[in-house]
Amino acid sequence: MENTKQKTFELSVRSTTEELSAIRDFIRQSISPAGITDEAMDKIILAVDEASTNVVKHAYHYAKDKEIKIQLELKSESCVVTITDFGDSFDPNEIPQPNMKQYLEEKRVGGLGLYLMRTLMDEVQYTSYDGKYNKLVLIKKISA
Amino acid sequence: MTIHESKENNVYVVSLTGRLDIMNCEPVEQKFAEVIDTKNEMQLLVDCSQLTFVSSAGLRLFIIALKKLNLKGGKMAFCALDSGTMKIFTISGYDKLFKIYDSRETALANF
Repeated sequence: MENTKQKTFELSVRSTTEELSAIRDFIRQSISPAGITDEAMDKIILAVDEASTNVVKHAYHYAKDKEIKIQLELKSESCVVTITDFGDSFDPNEIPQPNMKQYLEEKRVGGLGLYLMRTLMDEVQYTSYDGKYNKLVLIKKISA
Repeated sequence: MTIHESKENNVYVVSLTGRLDIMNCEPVEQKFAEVIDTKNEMQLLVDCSQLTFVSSAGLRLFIIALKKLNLKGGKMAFCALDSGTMKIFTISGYDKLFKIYDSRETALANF
């Protein structure tokens, strides 16, 4: 649903892998009229795809009947995407930022998703609200 | 997702056809595990000429395969990416981590 004054778009989908494609389409359709660069749009779509994949896998453990809420706000200088889930939370501070060259030489796994999102976006904020719901905020500066 | 495999000049070539996202990355993940862990192949070329889309889940399994081969002293490369797939590699910065060649022939010549 579009709120033209605030340029806010919202989508609520079930936590199935099939919906990830719908989420990508929603982001593309919401951003396209704003005239931001294709590169910025592609980065936002890939970051949201990663975030949504993480919700399906890690917050909901592939349970298909849960909710994923996506809110996209187009502001004058940024695009802010908030992904809300009601599943398991994680502590981003426990996941080190990998140096990829080094990461490829190490045996440990994990941290790839956050690395990818931080590479693609200008800001990544994750907050868990008393174990009731979690919000991941992805911010991309735009020049449009 | 269709997977074809062949071996050319000691290089194991896995060709991917279709879309690679979370819904169909499992067979590719299994194929990489079979090639790297079971067959113990040390040189892997992923032919992307028929690959039409890669999501973040696809990028993840590529990185994991590269990491496994790195740890064993092996090599992994990609060839014939279309512009859409190349864009995903570029914006994620993964183009700097992987060896990417224009064609299968060039890739095979450079292993």
